Amino acid sequence: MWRSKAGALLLLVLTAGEARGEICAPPFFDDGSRLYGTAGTQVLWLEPLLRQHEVCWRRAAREDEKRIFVFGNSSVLGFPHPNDKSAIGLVNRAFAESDIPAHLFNLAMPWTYGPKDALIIRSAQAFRPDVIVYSVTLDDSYHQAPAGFAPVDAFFLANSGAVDRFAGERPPGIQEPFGRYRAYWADDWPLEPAWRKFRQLGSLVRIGVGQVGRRVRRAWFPDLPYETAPLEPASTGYDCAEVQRRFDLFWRGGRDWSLLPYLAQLRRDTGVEILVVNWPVAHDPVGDCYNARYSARDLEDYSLWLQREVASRGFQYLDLHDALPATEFIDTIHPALEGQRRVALRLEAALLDILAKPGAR
Amino acid sequence: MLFLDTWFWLFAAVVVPIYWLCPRRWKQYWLLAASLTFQWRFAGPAGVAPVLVLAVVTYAAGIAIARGATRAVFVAACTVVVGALVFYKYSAFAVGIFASLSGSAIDWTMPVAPLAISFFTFEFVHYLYEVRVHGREPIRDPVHFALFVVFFPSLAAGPIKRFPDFVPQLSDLRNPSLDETLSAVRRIIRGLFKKICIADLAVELVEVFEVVPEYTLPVVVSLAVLQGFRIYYDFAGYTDIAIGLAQLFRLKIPENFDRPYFSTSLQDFWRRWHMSLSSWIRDYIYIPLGGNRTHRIANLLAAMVICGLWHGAAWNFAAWGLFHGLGLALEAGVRGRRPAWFEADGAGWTFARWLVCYGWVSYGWLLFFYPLGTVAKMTVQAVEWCWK
Repeated sequence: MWRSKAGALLLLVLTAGEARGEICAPPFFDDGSRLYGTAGTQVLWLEPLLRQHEVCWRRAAREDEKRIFVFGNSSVLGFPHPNDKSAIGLVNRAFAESDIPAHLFNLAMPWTYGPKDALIIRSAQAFRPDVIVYSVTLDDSYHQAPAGFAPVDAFFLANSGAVDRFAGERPPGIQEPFGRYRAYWADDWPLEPAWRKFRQLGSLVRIGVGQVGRRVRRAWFPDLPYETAPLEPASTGYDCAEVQRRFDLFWRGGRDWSLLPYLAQLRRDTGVEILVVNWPVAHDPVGDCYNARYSARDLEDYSLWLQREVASRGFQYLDLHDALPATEFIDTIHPALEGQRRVALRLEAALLDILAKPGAR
Repeated sequence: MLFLDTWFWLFAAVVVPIYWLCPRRWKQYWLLAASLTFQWRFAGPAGVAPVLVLAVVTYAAGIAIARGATRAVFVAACTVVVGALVFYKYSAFAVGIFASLSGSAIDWTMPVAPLAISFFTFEFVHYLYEVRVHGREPIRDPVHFALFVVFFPSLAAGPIKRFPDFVPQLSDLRNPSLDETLSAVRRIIRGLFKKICIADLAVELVEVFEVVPEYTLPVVVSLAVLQGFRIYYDFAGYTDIAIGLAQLFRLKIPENFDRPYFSTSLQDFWRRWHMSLSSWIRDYIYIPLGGNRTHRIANLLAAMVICGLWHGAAWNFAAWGLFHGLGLALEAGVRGRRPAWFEADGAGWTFARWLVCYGWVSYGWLLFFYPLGTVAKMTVQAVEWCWK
C-alpha cells in the first residue's frame, strides 16, 4: 500500500504544474529566505525552490503588508553574505524596526542573465507580488540562448516545462531567447523533462537531508561561521583589449531583447508596481575599461539606454551603477558588507517612495 | 561508481536482450565480447594490457601445475600476480616509506593501476592455490577462463568469485525465467536505492559534520555511524546491482553481505561483512599462515593488516585492519574465559554485546576514512568534551 501511495505522490510531484502557492515545502536555503544556497546547489527546478521559499509560506505581520519581490543575480542575492546581512535583509530589518508594512522577498539567483530572471519573475507571479524590484547590470544582457554558461543552461533545462509554457505565451521583449530554447528542445526524447525533474527531485532530497544535518550542527555549534562557496577577490590586473574582445563576442548584436516590455505587460495585467535598479558594479579601471567585464563607454551607453527605456514605460528607477567605491566590493560585482549597507539605504528610500504613493497596490 | 554511468545502462540495455536472443552456444562469446568491451571502456588499453598478461600467465600456470609442474611454477606465477598488484597499488606507498626512513626525496610517479586489479589478483591467487594445493581441475577452456576473469557485473568491485562455483555455470548458459528476471530487476533496483537513497544521503551528512570547529563526542559518534552507513549501503548497493545483473544472465556470483551491523561479535561481523573478501583472507592468508593451529594471534593480526591494506595503500587502512585484528584477537583470547553473565542469552546482554561490537566497528570506520592524525584528534577532543 505504501508503495502505491509513494508512487502517487511522486507522480503528483513530477506532473505538478506551476507553483500555485497552496502547498509549501520545508525551508531549505537560509531558513527559506532565499531561492538558492550560497554554498551552491544542484537544484535549479523552480517549482520546489519557490515552495520552500518564504514567498510561499510566510504569513504577513500585518494585513496591509506589501509583498516586494526582488529579482536579480548573485550580487542581489547577497552572495557571499547571509541573507540578514544582504541589502535585502537589511531593508527588511529597517522596515520591521520602523513598523513599515512591507516585506522584501529575496528571489535573486546566481548568474547574470535576464531571461533567467524573467522565468523566475513569471513563476513567482503565483505568489502575488505587490512590487517587483528588478535589479539588473550590463552583464545580465548578454546573449546566452540556447546554450552559453553551463549553470545557466542547466537552469533552463531543469525548468524546460516552464520555459515551454512561457515561450508559448509569447512574452513581449523576450520572445527571441525563449523561442530559441523551445526550438532547441523540440527534438528531445519525450521522457527527458520528467527524467530531469526526477534527478532534480533526488538532488532536492539530498539537499533537504543536508539541511537537517546543518540544523543539528548549528544547534551544537551556534557560533559556526556562515557557510558559503569560496569567492576569489577581484583581480587588479587585466587585459582591457581582451575584455573588449570578449564583450563584443558575447554581446552578439546588442539589445534585441529586453525584460522591460514584459514587465510593462505584467504591470498592465496585474497592477504590480515596478522598480528597476541599475545595480552597482565595481569600478576597477584599466585603460578604457570600467572593470574586468566591459568598457566605461559600454557601461555608460547601457545606463543611458536603461534609464531611457525605464522612463518611457513609467517605471520607477534607481541608478546605483556607480554608487559604491571599488573598496566596497569583494570582486567585480559582489558588494562587501559595507556596500550592502549602502545599497540597502538607497533601496529602502526608493521603496518608501513607492509605498507612499497613494496608488500602491 | 561505474554502475551509475549512463553509458553503462545503455550498454546493459543492449547486451542483455541480445544475450537472451543468442543461440545457447553463442551466449558465452557474446558475454565475453560484452565484458571485454566493458573493460576496454572503463580501463582503456593501458588498463587492459596488464590484466591480459596476468590472465595469460595464470591460465598457463594453471595448466602447467595440473600437468605436474614443480612448486616453482606456482610460486613464480603467484609472485608475478601479487607483484603486479604491489607494483601498481603499493609502489608509491612503499617509496614514500623508504623516502621518509632514508630522509631522501625520491621522484616517483604512481603508475595508473588497471581497473579492479585488487579483485583480479585475488581471483588469480585463489585459482592458482586451488589448482596447486587442493588439486582442483584447472579451467581448460580459454573462453571460460576469460569469462571468469572479466565477467563484467563483478569486474569493478566484486564480489570476488570462486572458479569452482562460477565456471561450471558457463557450460550451461540459458536465459533466466520470468520470475528470475523479475527477481534480478528487483535486486538491481534495491541496489540502486541503497546507493542513491541511503549511501549518498549519508555522504551529504558526513560532509556537513566534517566541517566543525571541534570534534565533540556527538560529532564523532555521528561521523562514525554515518560513515558506517555510507560504506555499507554503497558497497551493498553495488553488490546487489552486480548480483542482479549476473542473474539476468542466469549466473550466480557470491553474496557479500548478510546484515553485518546486527552482529554481536567481531567474528560474527566478519562472517557477514564483505564475505567474499573475508572468506578469501581466511582461506588464502589466515589458514596458510597457520590459522588456529600455531601463532593464532599473530596470524589474525597479519591477515587483518593485509585485509586493511588491500582496501588502499595508506597507513589508515593498515591501522583499520590492525584495529579489527586486535578486536578479533581480544575476542579469541577471552573466549571460554568470559564470565557466565557475558554469555547470557537475555535480550539485554545480547544488546550489550551488539553495542560493543557495533561501537568497535564504527570506530574502525573513522580509521578507514580519515588520516590517523585526524582520528587521534577526534578521539582526544571527544574525550576532552566528555570531561568538560
